[in-house]
Amino acid sequence: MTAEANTQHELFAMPEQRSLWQDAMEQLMRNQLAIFGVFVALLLVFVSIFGPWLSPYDYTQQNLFRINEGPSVDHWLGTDGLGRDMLTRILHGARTAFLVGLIVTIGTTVLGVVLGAAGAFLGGWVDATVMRMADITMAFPDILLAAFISVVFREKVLELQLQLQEQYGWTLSESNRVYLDYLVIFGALTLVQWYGKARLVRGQILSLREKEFIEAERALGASNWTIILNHLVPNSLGPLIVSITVGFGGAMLSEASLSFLGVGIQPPGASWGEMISDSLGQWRFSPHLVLMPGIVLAIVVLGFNFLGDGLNDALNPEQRRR
Amino acid sequence: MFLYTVRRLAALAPIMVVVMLITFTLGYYGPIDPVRAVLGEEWEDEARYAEVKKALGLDRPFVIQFLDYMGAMFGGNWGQSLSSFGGVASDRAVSEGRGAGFSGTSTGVREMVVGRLGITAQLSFWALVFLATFAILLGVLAAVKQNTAIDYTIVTSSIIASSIPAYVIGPVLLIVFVLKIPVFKTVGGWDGMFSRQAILPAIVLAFGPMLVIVRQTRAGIVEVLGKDFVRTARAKGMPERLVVARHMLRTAMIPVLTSMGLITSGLLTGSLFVEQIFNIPGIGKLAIQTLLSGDHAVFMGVVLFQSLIIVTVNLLTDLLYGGLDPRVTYS
Repeated sequence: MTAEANTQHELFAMPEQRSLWQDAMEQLMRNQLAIFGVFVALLLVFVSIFGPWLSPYDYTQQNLFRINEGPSVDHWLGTDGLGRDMLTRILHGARTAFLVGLIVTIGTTVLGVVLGAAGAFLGGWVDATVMRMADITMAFPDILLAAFISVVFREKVLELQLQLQEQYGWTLSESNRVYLDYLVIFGALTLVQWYGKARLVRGQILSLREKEFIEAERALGASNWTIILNHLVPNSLGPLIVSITVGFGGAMLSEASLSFLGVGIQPPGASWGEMISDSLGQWRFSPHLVLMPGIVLAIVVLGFNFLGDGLNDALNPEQRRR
Repeated sequence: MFLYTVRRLAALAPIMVVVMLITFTLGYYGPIDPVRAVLGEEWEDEARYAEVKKALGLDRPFVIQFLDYMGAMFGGNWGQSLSSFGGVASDRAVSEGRGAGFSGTSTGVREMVVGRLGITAQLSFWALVFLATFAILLGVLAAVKQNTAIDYTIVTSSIIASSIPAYVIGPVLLIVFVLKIPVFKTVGGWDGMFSRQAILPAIVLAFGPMLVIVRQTRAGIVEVLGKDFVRTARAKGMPERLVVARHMLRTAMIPVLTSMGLITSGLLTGSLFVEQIFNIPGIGKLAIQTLLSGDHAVFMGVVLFQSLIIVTVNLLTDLLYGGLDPRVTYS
């Protein structure tokens, strides 16, 4: 909470001045699983920024003399079916996962907050439209809808890129082509995953608006903006932060799922899901090819889930389990 | 309650129509040209192209095509798989038009979807059996041993089991139970629900919703642990095992039962990864195959069918919840 907000309530002297955020921080630090989550998240950020410089290989560099090798001094995690270094590809997969997680989370958060807040404040037909849109999105099997959108969208993006290439001579190198995949997945996942945050924000605002302390503020003559900035935003931030954290992990998982199904990141781009499906046929002969990206994906997903759980316990004390 | 039910049922139809509109639009603007797919190498012959396009009704405006599609869907004709036009089938497309081949053969979309659903349903059934026994048992154990190492271990390992996607757990179990400890010799494929091949995929499928069941059972039991009727049962000298089974579990099961519907629809629509890993010809595998091969009519059929399952189960769950819990009233 801001200093302003604290001075406003000086009249009610509290025995110990401890803000929600300090309390939350203390709670979080006490939760070992959440610390593990923080560690995983920081490691992911580090690796996705500096990954390419940590390895002497290129993620598309093939060596057909050394395929399907186990871990060795040259290749710490072995090599895949085309002799590409597994560690390098996993590091690049981290970049893919992180970037997709980031842009999809930004997309769904912006869309969710805007639509949810619009529905709650404007009411009437705006609210009805937003909620029906959410109902319809929820009626779909989400992965199949995302897969369908990405197949259709990919075609349009490729057409657009070809057009630009013909008109202006803008060409994309093979390694930059992966950004088109990011765009496709971003569109597909944002359209499928926006509604959770919209419903959350709408519900928060609607329930907070009826609370006594908001009524008191209104009676004291506070303007709408004061109420929004001083009360609605800080009070709904907790659940939203939890939802963003869990959603970040969910978006990375969805990217891996789409890539696993063959409609996400296209080879030779590196994605953990694509790596798993790529070497699935090899599980009997070189199990490490499936295991390595799988274990990394599992650790990251778990890390974000634990972090989300920890944040939920820390930021929403009324929901604390055990 | 009756009025509420009627209103909810009435709201189902428009939702399904919009769902249909969205899938149809995606298919319409999708990358696959059905005419080209039907014609094969012949497609460059313009006259032939126009002929087939007209026969399939694809020369009409978007709105007319959609209305036609929607009418057919509601009438039970879900269209044709492109594979039914394979080979020199463009002649057949011309002679029989849009209704081509719809005579109960396995190329009708509805027959394909319903046929494959059977396999997915059998797989989901085993997953549900696994959940109803194993997961509930774990939940009870965690509640009875509340706040002990056993409790923490059960809850944390359920979180782990449910967070990790099937396409990671599946291969891991394959490697462990086929390569390291050879319990299973043949894996992959489908050989009826009573074959050994069904065991591993059913377990992997059950891992997803495991956490929900464990948590709900645990919370339900913890809630009644100190209640009077439990104390009375104990005071009568009832063995603890029976107290848990007869008195506590019965009250704790209400939320678990209501969530079983959602879990079932989740299993039926979420089995695609398990089917992909274990090469099981279920509905999810059908969806992925037809999406990648561009057989959009079949894919759209699967999506619509799964949407229907989802909205129906959501409605039933709401109604059941209202029926079981007298405190809930709908207006």
